[in-house]
Amino acid sequence: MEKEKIFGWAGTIIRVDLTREKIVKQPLPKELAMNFLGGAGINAKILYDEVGPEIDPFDPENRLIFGTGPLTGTMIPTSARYTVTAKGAFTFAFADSNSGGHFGPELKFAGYDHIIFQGRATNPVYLWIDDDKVELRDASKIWGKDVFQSDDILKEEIGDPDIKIALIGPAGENLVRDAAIMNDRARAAGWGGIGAVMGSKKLKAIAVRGTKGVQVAHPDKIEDLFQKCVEMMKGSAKYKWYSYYGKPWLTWLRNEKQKSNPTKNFNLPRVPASEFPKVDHEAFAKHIVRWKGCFNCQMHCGHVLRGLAGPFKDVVGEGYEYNQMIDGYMMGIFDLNFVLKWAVETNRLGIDCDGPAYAIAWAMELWERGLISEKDTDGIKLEWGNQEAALAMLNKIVYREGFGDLLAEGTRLAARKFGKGTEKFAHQVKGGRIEIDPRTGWATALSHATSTRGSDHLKGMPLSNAYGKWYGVEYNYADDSSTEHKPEAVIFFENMNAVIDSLTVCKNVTWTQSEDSFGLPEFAEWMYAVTGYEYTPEQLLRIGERIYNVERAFNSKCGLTRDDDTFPEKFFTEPIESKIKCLDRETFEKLKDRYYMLRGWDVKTGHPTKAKLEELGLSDIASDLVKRGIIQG
Amino acid sequence: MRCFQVVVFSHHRYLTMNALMSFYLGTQRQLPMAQASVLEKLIKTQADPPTMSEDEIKEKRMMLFTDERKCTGCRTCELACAFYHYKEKNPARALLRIIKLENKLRDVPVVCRHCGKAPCLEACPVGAISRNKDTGAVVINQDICIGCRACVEACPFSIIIVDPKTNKVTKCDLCGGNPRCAMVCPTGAVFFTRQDVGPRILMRNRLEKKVLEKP
Repeated sequence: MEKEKIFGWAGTIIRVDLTREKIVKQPLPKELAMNFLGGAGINAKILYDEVGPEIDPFDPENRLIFGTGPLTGTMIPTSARYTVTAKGAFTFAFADSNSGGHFGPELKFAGYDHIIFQGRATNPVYLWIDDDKVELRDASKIWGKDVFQSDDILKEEIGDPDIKIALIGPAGENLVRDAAIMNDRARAAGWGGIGAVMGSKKLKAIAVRGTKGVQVAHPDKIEDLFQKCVEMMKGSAKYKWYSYYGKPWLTWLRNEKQKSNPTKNFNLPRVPASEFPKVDHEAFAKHIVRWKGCFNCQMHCGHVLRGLAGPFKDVVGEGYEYNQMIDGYMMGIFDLNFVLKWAVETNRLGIDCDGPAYAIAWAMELWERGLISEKDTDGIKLEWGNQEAALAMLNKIVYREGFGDLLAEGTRLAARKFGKGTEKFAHQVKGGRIEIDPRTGWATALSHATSTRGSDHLKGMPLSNAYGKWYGVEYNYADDSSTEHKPEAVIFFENMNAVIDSLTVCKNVTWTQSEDSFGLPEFAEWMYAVTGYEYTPEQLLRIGERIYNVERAFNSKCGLTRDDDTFPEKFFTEPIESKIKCLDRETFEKLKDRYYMLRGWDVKTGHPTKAKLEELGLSDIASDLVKRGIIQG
Repeated sequence: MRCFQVVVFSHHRYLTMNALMSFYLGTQRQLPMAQASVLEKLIKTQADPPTMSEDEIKEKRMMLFTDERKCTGCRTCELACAFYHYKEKNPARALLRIIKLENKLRDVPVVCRHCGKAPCLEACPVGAISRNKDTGAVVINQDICIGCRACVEACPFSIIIVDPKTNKVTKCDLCGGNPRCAMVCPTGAVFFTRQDVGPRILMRNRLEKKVLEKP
């Protein structure tokens, strides 16, 4: 039978069994594509179907799933992203992570939508994809090498300097629970410790050369659509800020407007006014050498930066942004030259920038409180603001030496192992680090608590007025002091972001960030031009809800309940200078009640109900959860 | 220096090959389609004289310029180029390239400069490369091209592409006078302007030390 012509999607999945060194290509099931779009959506469904609750993140039976979406690699603006999904190394439940650069589109151009890895190789290997040719190759030459070296060696070995590579560094090899998967040297899929999952499979890299391209359904529409989109993007209020400062602009927004920035392990509400001019977006702009963009992005929020003074004067490197600046604040280091060094080092070693910073900040608090001393830390003085100590400790974490071995477990596990009541200094939800202080408002708190991959602002935090625009209600995201409309808004954002991650486009240019940028109507328009299928915006939102329910159901399967959707004690007791001061437990629980109810989930347990899952066409998941005795039949 | 050598070498080859061609093929060689249309056009222009003299037209010609410091490496241009020419989203087939020098943290846009004295044109042994009188673009006629890749070697910028799908030699044709790369470039790293204006824009960019407008 002749293969049905498809547009947008490449139409093929690669399944790699590393234990048996077997590679199988399968057609992408149309039903899966129609109901879950691609990227994060299809990844989540595959993860649910194939990984059980008994499987440890580092077990060979865990899956590591790479996914691109139907829009990846097309001329739709910011179509550069890919998603990696696995049972997370520090969440021990659902985890996915998303990265830009040029790797995702290249994979698509080679003709593949998803790659599923299972098993564990005997010796280190890498996967080489050269259009139709897919093979596992020996990686012993690069095992142990850092990200930059490995990248160079692979390109030389293959003999093409323009191939795109996603790989792990020493952090992933040493199963550091915050290890990232790096691509294009400075782009990272850093959340969830998926780099460590990749390391546990003895898979060093995926190298791709794709020359087949992507076919679109309505090529005549694309050019006009592109021009229209770019105009719209450039007209959006936040564009000029993002395109010049990138995300570091948010440090100013958080510090001055929302009066909150994680500083010194949340011991300070924000960066003190005396220090802030040294580390704000204007100070950042002085370091800029040039601007960098991901594939097909007109926003170019990345930068090449150089050191200006001090010991890191000569450092030149790509890509630090809001998160790395927060890392500096967390460790009490108010010096952007250090932040640049930190960014380059974490990229080189293949570790998520935040993980070690939060772990070191936790240790610094213990040091200040006299709970640890030089004897514990192998002679490193972990005082607030000690730059040398932070870098030395980073190295120890990556190679799991001495005290670094404990910190490499991530704050939650490290605190649990260390004991002595230090868990209250580990600021995490479900193992995920808290990046935006939940005490700034109710929607922030609710979205961070209920996020399916641990405390995270990119799953459902309302960062624009899109909710109000969509439902035609009055809603101001910036005023986060009342609980009105908050669960509804969080649910809307969670569903919409699931769609964005599945298409996949970048959240920075969508309703996630700015209501005058791209939203559901544009997504529907793009889907029609690229794939030829007519989705309504409502249908897309429904798909988002379906995806989010799958993620939640996976967490339920792994044993997470309503009780895990909460914050450490500190956020309920210690007030900061915001409208809601600190979280009131009763109000918070009531807010959660309303959220579960609106979601159609069990208010007592937080699990999706059978009725809801069936309504979303997920009866297979419903019956699985019933069989496991997690929900009632 | 390298450029100079290549030109001389190719020019030499061009002469020998052409002499050989005419020796072997003689009168059998038919007038190719492209040349026929050029002739037609010539006849047409003679009947309808242009308002500007040929020198004036040359001066006011639009050309592609690049400013490396503005390039963000997003490759939207590659995508738009391939899409215009082949109706598919496939930067591997693009006729201009963003070269990523990752160790040096540089992204360098490389475009065909449609040289005044084009080495590729001179290197072509069969006369498949010619200059479009309207746009000034140096273009390949695929009907005549024999795929020897002499032009690939002759090009001092190495921006003549061997297409990964067809294995044919391809190059920039300025999209018939409206290059898509310049149209979509978000920062103006690749821009299309009058030949005499381009250098002044570059000069200003350099003097102002400004890459992007501060909000």
